Amino acid sequence: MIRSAVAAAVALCILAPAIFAGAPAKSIILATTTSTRDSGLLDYLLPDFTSNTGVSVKVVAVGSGAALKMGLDGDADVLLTHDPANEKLFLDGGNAGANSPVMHNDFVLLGPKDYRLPAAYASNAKAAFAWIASNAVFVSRGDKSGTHMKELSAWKASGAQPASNRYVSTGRGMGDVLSMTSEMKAYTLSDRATWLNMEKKLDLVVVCENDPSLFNPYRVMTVNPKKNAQINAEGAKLFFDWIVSSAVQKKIGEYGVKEFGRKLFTPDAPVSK
Amino acid sequence: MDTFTQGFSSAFTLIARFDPELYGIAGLSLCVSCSATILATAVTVPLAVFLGLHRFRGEETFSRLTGALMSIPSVAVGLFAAMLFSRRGPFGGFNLLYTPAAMAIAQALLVSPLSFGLAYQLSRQRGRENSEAARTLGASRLQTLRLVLRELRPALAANLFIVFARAISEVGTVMIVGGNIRYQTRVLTTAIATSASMGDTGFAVALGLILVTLALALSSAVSFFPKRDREAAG
Amino acid sequence: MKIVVRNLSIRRSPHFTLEVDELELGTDSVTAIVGPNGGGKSTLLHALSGLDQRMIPCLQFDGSPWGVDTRKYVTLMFQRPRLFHLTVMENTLLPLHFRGIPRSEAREMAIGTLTSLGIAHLADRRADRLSGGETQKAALARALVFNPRVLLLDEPTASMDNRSTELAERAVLEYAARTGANVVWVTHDGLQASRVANRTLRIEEGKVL
Repeated sequence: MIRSAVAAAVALCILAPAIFAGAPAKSIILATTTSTRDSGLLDYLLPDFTSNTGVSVKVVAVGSGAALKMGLDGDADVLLTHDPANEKLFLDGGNAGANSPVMHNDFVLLGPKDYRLPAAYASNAKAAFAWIASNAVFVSRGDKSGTHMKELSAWKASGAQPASNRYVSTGRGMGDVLSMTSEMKAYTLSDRATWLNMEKKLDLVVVCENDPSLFNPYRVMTVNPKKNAQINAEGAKLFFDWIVSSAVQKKIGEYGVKEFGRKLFTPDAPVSK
Repeated sequence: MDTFTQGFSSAFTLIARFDPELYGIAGLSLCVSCSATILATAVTVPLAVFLGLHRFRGEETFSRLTGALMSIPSVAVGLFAAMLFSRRGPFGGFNLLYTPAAMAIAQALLVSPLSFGLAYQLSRQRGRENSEAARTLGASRLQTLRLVLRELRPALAANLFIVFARAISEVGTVMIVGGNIRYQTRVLTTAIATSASMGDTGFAVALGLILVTLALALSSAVSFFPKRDREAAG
Repeated sequence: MKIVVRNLSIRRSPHFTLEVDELELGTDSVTAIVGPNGGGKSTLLHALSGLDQRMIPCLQFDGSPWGVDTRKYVTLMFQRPRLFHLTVMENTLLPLHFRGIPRSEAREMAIGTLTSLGIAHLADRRADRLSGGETQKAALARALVFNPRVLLLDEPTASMDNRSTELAERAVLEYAARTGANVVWVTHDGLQASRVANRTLRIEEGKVL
């Protein structure tokens, strides 16, 4: 009995590479943010890309900061990030091929269901952050992601900083951080898309939103193919052209309407020729 | 308590309905870890058996070193393997990062010390004993080797399961090298991590049940081997 | 066969070294080695067997140093018998198989030896299903069956009952008388030593007395 089990296992392993070799030639590495992944947008869009072009997409979700570093090192073919300041540095350094704004949404400040943040600050991010710094526990991404960068600039703008025993720096993705915040009955900053996607599983509510400073723009950039020989410039360009095309942009604008009653992302790519 | 029971009931449903994503993940786990085990065994066991049978200076220290390496943390190996396979690394040209093949190779690296260590200890004790007995009965070197291998075979087979169990339950290596990409490089352990963090309790529990069942099945498989062999196998 | 051991020195541990300046074991002898536990009896036997490469230069068999074939007629029965995962018969046939003796002839020889030790009825029993005494008898049979010229026995009857011990002693003595082989018999039983041996050596704390 054991012999045949072993034989089956060996056969499986010999077949496995054939099944799972995963189209090495026709694939691109997309470095993006955990919020884009956790919002469910990529699961919704990408199958369409692969069936149209035959190129499979390896989505590596790290923070925007890490994604930009991957781009810098030539470890990815295409980047999808939301960190305007560092994106500008990236572009100025000649690290990108094609680039374009692709969509935007906004950030929301979340707190426990029985939150004590004064209602007056419901659209005043500066005041809200200042209040939290002295009165509550804040859970941070702590991973140089776009969300983390936005959070840091919010502290700066508010002129306050929470004490270390009320600031939880996790180094985790948005989904993880939301779960932790819910457990700890604390406050955190999240992009709206991930929030809406996970709302039902959490005990949190929006305590501050619609402040202009919470604007969250996303940019897509192909990595400069001169960096190394492994960069799939062709595949990257296909992806870029596809995601800024009016058809896909329209799809982006439709994501979430059925499920959440509102769209999660607003398409931003300039109308193509 | 609600999430608890809810989680388990959705889990059972997913399992019973043969949810394709769930079984796909389980299948990939099995393939990657099987390949890793076979690769590690093929490379380390012959070497370990050979070294175990022959005396050499510093054996004692060598033995202790292999023992220590057996518990190398999986994230450390993952990091090392990722550096090897990244585009800038020595094996970048093969475009292996974020593929199941890379995961299998990295896992093989992870479990190799275990595979080697188990076989080496076995060979050093039981193997050497048997080798001496054979020699003193007039066996030639080749005859001795064949006899020793036959004697060690059941224990070596039991070791396979131990190595496989270690491979399939690790998460650090496959997470870093594979990237946990949905439908492509997501295995049981990395999927549990993701589902748990996304609050997908039902899916996470289903994955957990499969993983635990596999682990238990493997442990029981070891008990099919005669006790004497298992003791020697450690 | 005349066995000579010269300038043997084996360091077993920081506190214990076995040292033999010169030892001669003549032909047609049964030599018993007695002494306290841990004194070096097994160590000497192990050295005589040629299993330790470092000790080989110290040995001489009939005036010649250890050669390629010497291994084939010197055998050692270990204190804890090392039977293989086979039946008793298969274990006993092994040394004959190693020497290329044809199957039918080998079987005959094996049955003869097993009978002389009273375990012919265990021929098809698997080695891991034997009692302590039966295991030792099987190991002894395996050592005798191919007629070695030098038979090194490390406490061969330690687990046997009185009747089996008697049987084993008789078998070995008959064998030695018939073939003129050298037998070196380690025992902790002084009475056994006087029964079987025509010479007794005492080893204590690494020295031959």
